[in-house]
Amino acid sequence: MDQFEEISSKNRRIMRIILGVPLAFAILLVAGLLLCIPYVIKVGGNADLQKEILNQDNMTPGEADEYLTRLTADAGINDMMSEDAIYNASLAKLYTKKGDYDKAIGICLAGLQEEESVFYRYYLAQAYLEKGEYEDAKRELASVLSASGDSFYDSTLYDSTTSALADSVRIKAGTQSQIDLIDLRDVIIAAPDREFTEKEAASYISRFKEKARYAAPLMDDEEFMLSYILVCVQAEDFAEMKRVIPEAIKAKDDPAYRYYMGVAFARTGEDFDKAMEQFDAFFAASDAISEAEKTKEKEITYLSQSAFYKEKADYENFNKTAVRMLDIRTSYASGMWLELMKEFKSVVSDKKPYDSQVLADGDQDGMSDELEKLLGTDPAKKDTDGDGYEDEKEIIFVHNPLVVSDDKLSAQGYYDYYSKMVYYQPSAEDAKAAQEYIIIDGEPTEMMQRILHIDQR
Amino acid sequence: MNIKIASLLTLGMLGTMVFAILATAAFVMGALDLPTLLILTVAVNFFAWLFSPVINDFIYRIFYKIRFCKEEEFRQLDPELAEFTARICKENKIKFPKIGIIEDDNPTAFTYGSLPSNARLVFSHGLFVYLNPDEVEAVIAHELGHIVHYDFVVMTVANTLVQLLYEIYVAFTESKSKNGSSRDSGPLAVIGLISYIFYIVATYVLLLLSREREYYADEFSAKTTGRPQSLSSALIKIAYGMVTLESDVRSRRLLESTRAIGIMDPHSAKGVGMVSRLSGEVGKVLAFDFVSPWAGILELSSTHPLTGKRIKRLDDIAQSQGKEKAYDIPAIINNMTLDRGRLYSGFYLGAFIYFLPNISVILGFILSIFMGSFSYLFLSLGLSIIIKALYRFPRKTSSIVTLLDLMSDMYASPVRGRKVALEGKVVGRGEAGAYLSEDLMFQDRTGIIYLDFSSKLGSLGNLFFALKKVMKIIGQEVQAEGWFFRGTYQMVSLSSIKMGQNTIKSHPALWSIIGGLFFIFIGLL
Repeated sequence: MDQFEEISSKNRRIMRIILGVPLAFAILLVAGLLLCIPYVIKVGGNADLQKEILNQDNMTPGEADEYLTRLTADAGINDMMSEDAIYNASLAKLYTKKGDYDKAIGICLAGLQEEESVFYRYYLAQAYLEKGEYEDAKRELASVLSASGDSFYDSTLYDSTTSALADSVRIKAGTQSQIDLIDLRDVIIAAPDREFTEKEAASYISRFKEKARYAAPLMDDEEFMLSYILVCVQAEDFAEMKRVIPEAIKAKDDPAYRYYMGVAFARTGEDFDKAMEQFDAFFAASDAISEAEKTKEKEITYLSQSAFYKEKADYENFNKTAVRMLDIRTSYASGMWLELMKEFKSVVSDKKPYDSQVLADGDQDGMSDELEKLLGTDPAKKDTDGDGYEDEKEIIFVHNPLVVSDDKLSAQGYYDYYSKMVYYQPSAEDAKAAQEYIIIDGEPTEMMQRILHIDQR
Repeated sequence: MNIKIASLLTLGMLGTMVFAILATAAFVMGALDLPTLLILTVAVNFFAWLFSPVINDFIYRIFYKIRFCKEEEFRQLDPELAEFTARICKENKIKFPKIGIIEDDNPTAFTYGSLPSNARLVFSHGLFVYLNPDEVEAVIAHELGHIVHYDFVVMTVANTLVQLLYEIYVAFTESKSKNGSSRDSGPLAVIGLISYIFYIVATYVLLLLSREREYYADEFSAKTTGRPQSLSSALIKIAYGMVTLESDVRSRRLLESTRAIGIMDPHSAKGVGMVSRLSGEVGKVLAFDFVSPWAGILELSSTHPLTGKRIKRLDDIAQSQGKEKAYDIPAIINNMTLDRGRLYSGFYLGAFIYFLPNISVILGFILSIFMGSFSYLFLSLGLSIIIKALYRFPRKTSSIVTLLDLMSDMYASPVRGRKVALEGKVVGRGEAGAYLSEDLMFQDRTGIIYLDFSSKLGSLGNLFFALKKVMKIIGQEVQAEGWFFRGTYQMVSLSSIKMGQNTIKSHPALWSIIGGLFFIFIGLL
């Protein structure tokens, strides 16, 4: 063979290799890819089936069984998919629907060993939920909720399905809590005379608080709620009362709730106005309650209010409270005024012991000018409202010195005053002055006479 | 004739490919749907084709200083050639093309347009300097062949189809099926992958088609002129650059007229290469295309066939026309003494070095995955780029040779440069008329060759050289040193060019080495 032929054939060989190898590779690749298509269609079909299964919410065990046969029909695909999270999740879902929870849980746990996937967590949560292991379900759900929706196969689907699962876990877990709550209710209601030790009360409250998220249905159970409120009163947990009662009121506006709400407000010390509002609502709704009872309740509120202000040395509000008490005609008011006077005197004299001006009494009505300023009466007039009774006397006889009193200063008033006097140990001079101004509506009772020493006059 | 239409085709392809990529990106980002994308591609290609004469006129006017002349003017300048052109046009029922002239002594001719009716035929002044009238007519006939064969239309359609394959690939691999079903989208992705394989194959088929069109135009020329060997000798002059300074005076009025316009130094171009005189030597020049293992492989990615193969075909046509074969290539090769070992070891090593960066990227990538750090990838890439640059441009002392020596060297390589020194004259720009190009066309007493200049300042330095220095160098006697490469075409990468006392240095390997060092630096970080 000559050189030309030799070299040409060698070059042709090289060309054949250089062209042929990639070309053969390309042809093989194309052929391989074409051969792949049926397989890809199969895998795609399986993937579609997986999606369909995962999207199917309502499924009877029979349907689940049918799906299971379809999903696992091809052994080759089962093999290939055995580590695929979505495939395994579909299996787990089907087993859950069939009622074979342990198998579903097993699949998910095995899958989680290989790969951390939100799919496993999600369907694990569902299996636990159906099985009734709520704590486990909640734990898995928490990890699903903390995962990003992107890792799920479809973020919108993720949102809807997760929230649905979350709801059902909440409802079911809630049911369990409600069962606990009903137990608690029975215990509370069954307590003889609704009396609990402080320790019992505290433990009931903490049990109730724990399940508070599921307690909504109990809110319209009046019998329970009133019992529970009593528990709170006993435990002096007014904050809990303030939390619970408005919800109970939302369910049913029972006057009793108003009353206890008022109690809660009054006892916590600051919301006296709110307390009175609640009491007013309570009184308005309760016809059966006598005036005296109403007055007494209000009186207690005002008293605690005045004690609160006194503690804080807030004389202005202390005085206002006293004025309000005068409006409901409670005898405690005068005591309070006197208290105020005493307090005032001591405070003022402590402050300015050598200042004679402090105790100056320009109109000679028995109250110093400074005090009159505080009380709101006119320091220059003995009788600010001009009803014929001097300011101090009006206070003593439980009248408002700023409002014209139609009725006469009553013996009852004096009786009340006097009992206070006894309590406050008035000087003989004070007692005498009081007797001077007594005006008797009708005959004083024997007891009154005795106390007022009328017989001595 | 060759480089021009190749670059035109390349530019057109690049432009539409850029469009394809942009449109595909818009598709992926959801701004387009698949039918719109495909229709848009076809429409854009259609309009690019429709307006290509106007667009290209503009480009050539701006960047190549082309001058268009009317048929009458052309008839005045060169009555014989004009008459010849008119005859072919009439015979083939096409309009007389618009004639463009480039004032550059680099011999070239090309054609563009969208339909035969609006075709442009462009040639450089150099065509008349180096080719005799018969050869010029053969070249013009070849170009007219492209027009007659509707090559613009064929190549545009082929190019569009290739682009569509690419777009289908992106569309099918990126998109999901409309109803989101994996049953449908999986197979679509497979079809997308197949269309990507088809796309790669199709780009080579497109080049094959382009080469076929060249043969077809050659055949047209051979049949129209009845002188296949005129085209052969023209090819030897233009494609191989084998011209001599024999004083076979050729003086056309066109030559005189372009001189009169006087952009170029009216150097004493007497001439015409007389190929037949060299025929024994030229046979060796042709032999490379058959002997070198490189030749056939590099042809795969070329728009033009190997010149040797074209000449062989023209010889076959001549034989069928009852003429004698001009070049008995097998005989020439049989009479050569070839060191087969040197030939093939050089080829295998060269091929290995040529693909070294690609190989090192793959190996470096695998290594990076195993070692968990991408620094290996950058290190191996940087190292391989430097090795390739050092291999391409060996530091050897150069010996003075002629272009004929170089073109007869069967061991020449497109990868391993041969350090040479040449003595001769710079006759024009590397690409005829392209005044922003830094490259040169050089002539010694045996031929012409393309000189590739690389400034140490990179492309900015190249531009500066193109604008400020090239004009001064053209027409000068110079000593050029550099590395000779030969593949489907031949060139010298300059290391220096010396004019009297003045030496300009060129640094072809510099930026590769800087790039390699850069990657190594990244790898070390």
